[in-house]
Amino acid sequence: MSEVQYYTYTIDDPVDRLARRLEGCFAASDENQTDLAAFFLASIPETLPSSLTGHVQSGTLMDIAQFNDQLRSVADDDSAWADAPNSEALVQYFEGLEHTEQINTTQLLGLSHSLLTRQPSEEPPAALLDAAKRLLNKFEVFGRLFTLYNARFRKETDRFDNPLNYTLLSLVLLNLFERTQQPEYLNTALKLNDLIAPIADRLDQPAEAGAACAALCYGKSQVEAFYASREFRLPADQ
Amino acid sequence: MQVENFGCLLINNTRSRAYIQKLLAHSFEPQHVILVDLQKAPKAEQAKEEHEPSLAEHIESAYASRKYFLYTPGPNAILPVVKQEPMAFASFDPKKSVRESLEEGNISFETVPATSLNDAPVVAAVSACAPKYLLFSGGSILRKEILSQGKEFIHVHPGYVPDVKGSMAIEWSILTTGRCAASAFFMVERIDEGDILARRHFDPPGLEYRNIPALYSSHIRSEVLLDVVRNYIETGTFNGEPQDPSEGNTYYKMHPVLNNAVFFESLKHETQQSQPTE
Repeated sequence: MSEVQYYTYTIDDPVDRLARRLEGCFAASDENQTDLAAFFLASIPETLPSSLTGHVQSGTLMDIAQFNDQLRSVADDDSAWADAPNSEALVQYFEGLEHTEQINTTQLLGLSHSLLTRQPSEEPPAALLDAAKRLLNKFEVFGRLFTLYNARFRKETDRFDNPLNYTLLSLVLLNLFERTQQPEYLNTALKLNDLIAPIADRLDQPAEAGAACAALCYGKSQVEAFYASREFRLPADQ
Repeated sequence: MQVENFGCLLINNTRSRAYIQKLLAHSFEPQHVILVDLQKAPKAEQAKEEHEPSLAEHIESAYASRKYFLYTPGPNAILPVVKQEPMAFASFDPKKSVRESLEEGNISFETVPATSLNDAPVVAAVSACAPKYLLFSGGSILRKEILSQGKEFIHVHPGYVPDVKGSMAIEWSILTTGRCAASAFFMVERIDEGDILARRHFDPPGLEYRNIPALYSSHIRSEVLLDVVRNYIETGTFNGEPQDPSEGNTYYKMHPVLNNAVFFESLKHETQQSQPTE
C-alpha cells in the first residue's frame, strides 16, 4: 500500500515573528541598527511583507563606508576588520583577499552582499565568487561558518555561532542563484534558511532580524521563480 | 572465467548484490572477495540536559539532523511524496544476499566483521589479499590508510565525472542535464577525482510511484562495471584517463524543494515520451 504525504514550502511563521519585532524596532528608531536592518530589507523590496515595505527607504541610501562601519558595530567578532572601503575600493578588497592574513567572515559576506546588490548587472569579481563557493563548501561539509579564516579558508578561530554569517551567506548565494540560475546556490541557501528559521526569536539585534527576514523572503521568491522558469505546474493547479 | 588480479570489497548492500550477480551472470569471476559484515558501532550514552540550546548547539544539531523546517506537511502541496518499494530496473535479484551469490558461484571469499571499512581488520584483509585491483561498493568513505595498501580501488559513481561529482548525482544529473550517467574510476583521497576507466549516459528513469526507482542506481552502476571488466579482459590493463579536478561541479545533498523539481523534470520527460509522434 502506498503512503502519500503532501508538503509545502512556507516561511509565514518565522517571517511574521521577525516582521513584528522589526516593526517595533523601527518604531523605537534605534538609528544605527535599524538603518542596517533596512539596508538588508531594501535588497529584496518586492518580496517583503507589506508591514515592512515603508521602512526600507533609509537602507537604500547607505554608502559602502557607512555600511562597513555599521556592520562592524554589530559584528560579534570584529577582529581582522579591513579598512572601510569606498565604492571604488570594494573590488580591490576582494582582489586582496588571497594576500590577507585573516578574513573576517561577517565583513567578507556583508561586503559581498553589498556589492552584488549595488551592481546587479555587472559580473561579480572572481575573488567574490571563489570566496562564496568556498564558504558554500565549508557549510555543506562541516555545517559551520567560522568567524575568521585565513586566505586559504582554514579556520582561524573556534567560534562559529554568529547567526548573521549564515544569513549573509544565504543572501549572497540567493543573489548568485538569481544571476546564474545554477541550482547549487539555491540548494545551500535553502538549507541555511532552514537553519535560521527556528532561531528567529533569538535574533535580538535588528540588523540580524532584518537580514534573516530578507533571506527568508528572498529564498521563497527564488523558489517560486525557479519553479516558474521550468514551467512546473503544481499539482493543485492541474 | 576468473578475472586475474581483480577482487571485490563488498558489503551486504543492494549495490554489492547487483555487482556480484551481474559479474557472475557474465562469467566474470573475481579472484577473491572481502565481504565486510558491517555492524553498528555502539552509541555512547549521553545524559540529556534540559536547557535551551546555545546558538552553537543549535547550529551543530541542525547540521546533524538535516531538518527542513520550512518544508513541512501542508495543504498547498508542491509534491506528493509516496513511499513504496519499487522494483523497476531489477536487472538482478535485490533480495539475494551477496554471500548466497558467492557460494553459488564458488568464489573465494572471506567475511570480516567491522564497524567501518577503515577498521584495522578490513585494512589487514585488503593488505593481505592477492588481487591488486579491488571493486568498492560503498559503506564508508575510504581513508588514507586503506587507500595506501598498494591496491587500486575501483568505484562506480552514478554521475558523469567530472561534470557531476558528489552526493545525489542521479537527481543532480536530471536537474542540470536532463539525463543520467555512471562513471568508473580509481579512487583517490579526494572524492570522485581519480582516473576515469569508463563512463556513459543513460536515459533518465521513468518515475515509479513518483520516485526515482530505488534499483536504478545499482542498475546503471553495474552496467558500467561490466564495461570496465570487459575492457580489462580485452586489453589486459585498466586504462585510466586523468580528470582535471578544476572541471565540473561537486554537488551536495539535495534540498527537498529542489528534489521536487527532479520529480517535475521526470514527469515532463515521461509526458514527452508518451506523446504520439507525427
